[in-house]
Amino acid sequence: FILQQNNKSDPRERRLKAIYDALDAGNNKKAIQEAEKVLRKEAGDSLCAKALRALALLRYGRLDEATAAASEVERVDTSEESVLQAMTYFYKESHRLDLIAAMYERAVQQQPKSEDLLTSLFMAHVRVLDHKKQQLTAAKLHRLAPSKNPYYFWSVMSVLMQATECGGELASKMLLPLAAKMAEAFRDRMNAEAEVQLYLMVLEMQERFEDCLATLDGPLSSLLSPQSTEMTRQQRMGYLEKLGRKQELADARWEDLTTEPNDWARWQSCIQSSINADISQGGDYVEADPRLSELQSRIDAIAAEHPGLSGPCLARLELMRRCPVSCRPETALSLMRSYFEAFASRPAVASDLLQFRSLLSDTDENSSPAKLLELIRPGLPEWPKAAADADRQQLVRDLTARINYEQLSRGLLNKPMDAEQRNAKVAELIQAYRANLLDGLRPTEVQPADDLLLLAVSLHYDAWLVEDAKQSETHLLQALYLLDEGLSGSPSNYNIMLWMIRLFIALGAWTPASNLYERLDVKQILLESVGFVLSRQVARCGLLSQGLVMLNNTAMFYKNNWRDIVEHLCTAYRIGNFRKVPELVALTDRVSSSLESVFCGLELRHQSLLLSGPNIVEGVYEMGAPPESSSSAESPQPAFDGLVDGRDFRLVREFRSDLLAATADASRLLEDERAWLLYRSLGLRCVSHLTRMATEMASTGSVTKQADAARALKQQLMEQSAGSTGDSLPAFDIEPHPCLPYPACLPAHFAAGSQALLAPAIDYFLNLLPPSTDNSSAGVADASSIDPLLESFDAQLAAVEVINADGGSAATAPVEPLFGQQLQRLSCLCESACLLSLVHELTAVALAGKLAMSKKQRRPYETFCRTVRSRIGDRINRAAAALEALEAVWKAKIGQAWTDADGQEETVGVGGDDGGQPKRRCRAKVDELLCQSRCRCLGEMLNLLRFRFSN
Amino acid sequence: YGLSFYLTYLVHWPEYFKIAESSDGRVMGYVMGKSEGYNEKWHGHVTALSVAPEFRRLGLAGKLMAGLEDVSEKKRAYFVDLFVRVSNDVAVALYKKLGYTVYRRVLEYYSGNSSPMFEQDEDAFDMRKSLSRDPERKSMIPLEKPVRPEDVD
Repeated sequence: FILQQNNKSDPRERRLKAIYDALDAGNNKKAIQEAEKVLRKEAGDSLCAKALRALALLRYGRLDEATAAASEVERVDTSEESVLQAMTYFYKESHRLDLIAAMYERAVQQQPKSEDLLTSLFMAHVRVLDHKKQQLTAAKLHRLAPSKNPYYFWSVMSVLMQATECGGELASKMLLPLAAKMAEAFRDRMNAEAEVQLYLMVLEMQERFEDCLATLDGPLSSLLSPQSTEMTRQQRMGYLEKLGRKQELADARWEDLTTEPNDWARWQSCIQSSINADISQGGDYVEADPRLSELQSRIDAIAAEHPGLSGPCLARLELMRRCPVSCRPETALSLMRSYFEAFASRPAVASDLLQFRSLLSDTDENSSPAKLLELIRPGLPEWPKAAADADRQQLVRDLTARINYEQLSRGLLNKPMDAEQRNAKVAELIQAYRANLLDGLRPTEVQPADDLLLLAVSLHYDAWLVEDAKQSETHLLQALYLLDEGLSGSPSNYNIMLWMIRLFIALGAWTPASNLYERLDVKQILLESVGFVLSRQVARCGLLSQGLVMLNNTAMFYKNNWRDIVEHLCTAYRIGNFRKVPELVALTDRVSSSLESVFCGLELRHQSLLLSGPNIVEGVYEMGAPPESSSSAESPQPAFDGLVDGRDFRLVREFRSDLLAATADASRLLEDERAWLLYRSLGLRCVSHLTRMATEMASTGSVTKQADAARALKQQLMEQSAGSTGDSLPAFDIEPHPCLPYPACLPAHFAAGSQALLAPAIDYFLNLLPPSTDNSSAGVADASSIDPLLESFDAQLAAVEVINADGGSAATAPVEPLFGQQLQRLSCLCESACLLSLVHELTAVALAGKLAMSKKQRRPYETFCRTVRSRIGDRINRAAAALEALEAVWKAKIGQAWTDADGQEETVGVGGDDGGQPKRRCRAKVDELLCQSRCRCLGEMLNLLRFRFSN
Repeated sequence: YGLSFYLTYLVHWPEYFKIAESSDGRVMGYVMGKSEGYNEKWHGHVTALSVAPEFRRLGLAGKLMAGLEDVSEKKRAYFVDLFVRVSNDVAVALYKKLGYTVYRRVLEYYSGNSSPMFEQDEDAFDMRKSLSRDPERKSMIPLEKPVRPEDVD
């Protein structure tokens, strides 16, 4: 907090300082007290103390009082800096950036000649991206201080941003010419690099690239700093490209390459621009085109000049990929072979080569992927063995070569192995893994051999995909046991942790997955790219209360970021880094159109709704019901267009290109998410609409006309459900790339049967209403209107029986008592039950008011309550007993497993042929985690059901 | 780091951001830094250097550091400095190989509980490498006594 202390000896200043100190120390309660003390002493006329009190109240969480205190300050027009500053903090922290601008507008009216106030006003407009008002304010500043360049260029930048924002003719015919004219008028007075860059930005937007080049070569270039050489070089090439000066561009790129002959991005640009230049000179390439062979020799020459570099070697393959007429599979094979042989002991060689897989032939045996593997196999080193006296560097090199080979062969062969091959390969990989663990690594380092273990995990995953996922958890468990072993040797290997999260979730165990997620330390911007591994699972795993914390953290991240980004935007103006202004504005767009942000926001509202306590109506409002515009039944459903998907599906490394392909279809993946968001928001709107109806009916005693609107919403919901259950959606058990949240949320939800409830629940609510005054025929209550609802709910309740059925089999089956998917059904049941109880309570709210209902009209409602309670109560009790029995069986098994693990020496990993079997301790540990988490989940869900329907 | 932290650097010192991408477009590592100080203390500073585990042993750290030193040279800095956990012997060895020496030890520079990995407070080495503007390598002459974080200028 910047203190305003002009006169420290002034007793008033001293008293204010006590408030500032308390705020700085985070002692908000004390700050409130200090502020109130000042106000008492000064008979309430210290505006600054009032503003600080508002801020302290806000920070202390007393929102209503804070707002009241703030509006008291707002009533007085002031230009007192300390008050304005305190209120600026107040508005920032209450996410009302718009009010800062309004406040400074008033202040400037009082002191129109204050540079400081106008500057603050300018920044206030920056914060809300009001470029037009920025321009006007900057112009006023320029008139006040014509000698200061920054003010002038602030207004040029503001005009440029208006042009960026509106586009079209207004931009090209008016705003951009204006910005250019303004910049050109100051050409002779430019004295900073930022001003030249801004001038270039204007020219770029006008597509005056010749003028851009001329500027880079003209007198203004003397203002460009030496550290910008790299940037201006890139700019120059960009202008050449825009101007279509292909040959010049190609020459510039090749020259650029000579300084960094191993820079892959430069190679790609070089090859592309050479191809473009050649083709523009005289038609497409043909086979044996002399221009092609010239290009090849050019690459070869650089390769010969720098023999140790990988870039030039890959460049030949890149040329083939970009220019298929130059590709002969046998040449590609021989290039790939020599690349592997030259660089096998370096990391990431497999992924370097796998991008060129398509250059090999699928039909000609002699240039097939299998042939390549056959040729490089003999050159591989033996499996190394870590020993105290081994040369560690050599060992890591040998290990890397073997890992590269294994990864390459997974990617090249691209299909699952049969069971026998797979078991042998897992055994080979795990034995090699165990034989090559290094001592003395820091906890932040990973074991080089981990990649072997991860390959074995992928093989188990393949098996699970192939061998009907629903039938067995065995492969998932085997994989988890191995991963647990791996994690103890490499506590910071994020690949291992991501895999474990994925598998625990597949097995229906939220808690261990969420603990690993915490251990991964996913926060800040990682929430955008990594958060999905858990956020998509909240609705599936049943532990709503825990999921809520996670969703809330994410939602807060996005909410606060907007505020942070615009502060940096202010800084960019202040220090004149104009290049960053459009980038930061684009970032604000990016943040607000983040799929993850929208997903978590909606999910958070939904889950809090389900968990809201007995006072549902309040709960609906408290959870931050959708704003009026989007929740009223008449307004169109938000389309969720333009969302940006920041999920990084390449987090978990996978080499099989068929699995990778599933992650590449970005539009399909986004479409899946949109379908879910539409469905969820429609559900939320229905509930929030019913809530409003219920409260209105309770207070007015009559049925509002909104019943029709509610019916319309319900209709939409049913249509969407019908559309989404069609054949266009993937089958429930498709589980492709390990990173994908498949089945996508919506089909998984539907497969678990939870969409069946909402529509009948709404009907039930509407049908209970007494005839409305203006239309006596509508909404006559009828006992049979409950039947569909009861039927749907009954069907869902069957999910509870899963516990009973599996409780039986647990006694005989080893460790497969319950599947993740069945758990998901239970979780959906819980969701439905919460919803049902909500509608039920809303009905009670509606009926408890002044509505006059006849006994006959009340009867169906009462029957329903009784029936639901008895059916649920009975099943819950049976399920709870079954769960208890099940838990006892599990615990006994696990206890025995621990005894075995403790009592016997591990025979695995001592060098013998252990067949790649998991270690006993790892088995016992993972089984225990699964058991605890599943029992906790089931228990919590049963409690929730019991709580909702106990009275 | 928080988004805000990165943005501060991006707005003030965009020239100090370098990123290394693999041939299939994955981020292999990055470096970020800043320039600060007056007179003979005008220097480049390495704020973060990070190479993903699967891309270690490729010499990327050296390349990224060279890029940062190059920018600092162009800005006429006297030296480049950085802070590293004293226990991080892999990194300390790397920086030594790149020409850095330990200039001083900063007591309890890293606070515990900042990440699940590190629970204890830990000292830092302040390591430096002179640039061509400091041919006598005056800025690298080690201090004898450790300093407290608040005394680091």
